[in-house]
Amino acid sequence: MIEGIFVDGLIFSIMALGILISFRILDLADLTCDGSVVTGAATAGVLIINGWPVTLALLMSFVAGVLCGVITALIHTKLKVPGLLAGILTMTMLYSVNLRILGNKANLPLLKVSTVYTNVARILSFLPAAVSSLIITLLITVLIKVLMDMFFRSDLGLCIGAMGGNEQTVISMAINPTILKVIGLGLSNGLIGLSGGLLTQYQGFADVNLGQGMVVQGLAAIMIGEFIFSTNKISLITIRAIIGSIIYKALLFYGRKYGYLIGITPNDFKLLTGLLVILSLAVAKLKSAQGNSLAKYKVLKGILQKKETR
Amino acid sequence: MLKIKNLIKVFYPGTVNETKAINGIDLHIEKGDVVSLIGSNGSGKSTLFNLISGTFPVTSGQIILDGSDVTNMSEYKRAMLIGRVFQDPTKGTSPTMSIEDNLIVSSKKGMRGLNFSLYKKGAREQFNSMLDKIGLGGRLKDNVGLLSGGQRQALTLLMTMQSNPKLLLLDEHTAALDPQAADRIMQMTEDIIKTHSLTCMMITHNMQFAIGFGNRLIMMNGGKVILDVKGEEKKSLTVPKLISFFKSRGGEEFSDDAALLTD
Repeated sequence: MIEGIFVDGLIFSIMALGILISFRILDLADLTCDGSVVTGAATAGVLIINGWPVTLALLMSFVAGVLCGVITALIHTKLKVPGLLAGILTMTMLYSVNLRILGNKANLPLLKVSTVYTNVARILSFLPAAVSSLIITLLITVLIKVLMDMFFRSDLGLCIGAMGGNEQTVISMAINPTILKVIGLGLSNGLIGLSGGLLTQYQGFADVNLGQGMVVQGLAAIMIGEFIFSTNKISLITIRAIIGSIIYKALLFYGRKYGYLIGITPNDFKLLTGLLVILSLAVAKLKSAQGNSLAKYKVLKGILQKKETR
Repeated sequence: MLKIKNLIKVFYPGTVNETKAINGIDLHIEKGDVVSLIGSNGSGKSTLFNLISGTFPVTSGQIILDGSDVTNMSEYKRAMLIGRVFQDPTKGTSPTMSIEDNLIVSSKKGMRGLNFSLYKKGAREQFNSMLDKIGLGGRLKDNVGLLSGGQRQALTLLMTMQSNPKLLLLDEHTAALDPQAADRIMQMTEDIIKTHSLTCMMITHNMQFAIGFGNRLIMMNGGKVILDVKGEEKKSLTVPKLISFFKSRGGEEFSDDAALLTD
């Protein structure tokens, strides 16, 4: 069973990495996720049913996610709509698009077709299916993490990070911030779509409602990770998000298993997840308030010194 | 280098809040000119910088930078030629990234690709020797948010100069610093301008700075240039002379700002 938590957590962590790009690196509250994760899932599901090779289907779920992100980025930058609203718009529109992709059905079962997981179980038939699933998911996650680390260490990636911290710095360097946002949100939602594509194959169906509340859950995972240690190194930031995702999924699992002892049912999980995010935000606020009062004190000291020298 | 023709900027046109921030400015900044720009609050100095850099569009008039008309060019395109340092030390750097990451971002103008410049041989050594000069040697991996205002402004100046801008705009870049840091940054600014023989415009509230700085002094009031002196004439300026000139031209607003202007 423990393998199940890890596979679930790792698939989820790919989405958390996507949310990490928008919320933390770009500093853009992008809600496209709730829609693009389903787009990725639906795309992979439909393609696999139509006989596409699973790797290609997975790749297409990434591409579908990228398109969703690009649309949000263009609504946000070209029409000067706040990022939050742009994301909500895309997410809402995607609900209809996702139903179309699924052939106007709310649910698409992936029975009797080969998926990443059935393929790997066949190749590694000497291992239990749960273990082979864990191995392939771990490989995919590590590959994505390494590629993402490399990207954000490149000159382009650093510029995207700098824009998240302070947009003026890239404008001053004669770089068009619109292009950086399109790339950033595209990658973010690409990973989210890919995570959806994997999830569909793991659980054996695509569902139009599987994206509900994903952003908040992803944020919760990221924030759990941020409690573990603080860093400014991208390789540690990504590993932190992955660990946070696994912990989050483990919390859900044990909540389901033992929650009844204190009267908690799975129906309460969304409420608890939201409260967890609020708590994390409150703690972060408290920390930065301490920092701010220190900064204010320094400025005040500077002004007083200025007056004295007059 | 920079030609400004009959520049006008009106904020909120057609509403009760309509303000004429720039009221017909004609200005020709020659290559190599080092200009200090003074004037009371609301005289349009910062607006002029914002129009030159393209932060907001002009209402009418023309801006020609290095031979090409940039009047309707977007801010990021103009930035190819312009380096700008703001009053707020937090504006020039990205606080959540390390110093070395910031230095990569500012290493050159224009869009970047998937190179790994920071990991090239000697890149870090070069950054470190640059940082040594501003007293930040060995702090490549520290987050910029940890630096003091003075350190951040020194870093911003360093970063601005990495890409060799043709025109340097300094928007009261020492005003938010304590006196020692302000002196250090002013010294650094003058060194940079000399070694790179830059064209530069500096906004200041400090008349002493303004008189001591550069070869040209421009005074603005009510969105217009009311004084433009160069060379020998500028050298003979004194603070009392400037104030009496300002009083004769500036009108009632001046008395409120006297403290700020004389410092």
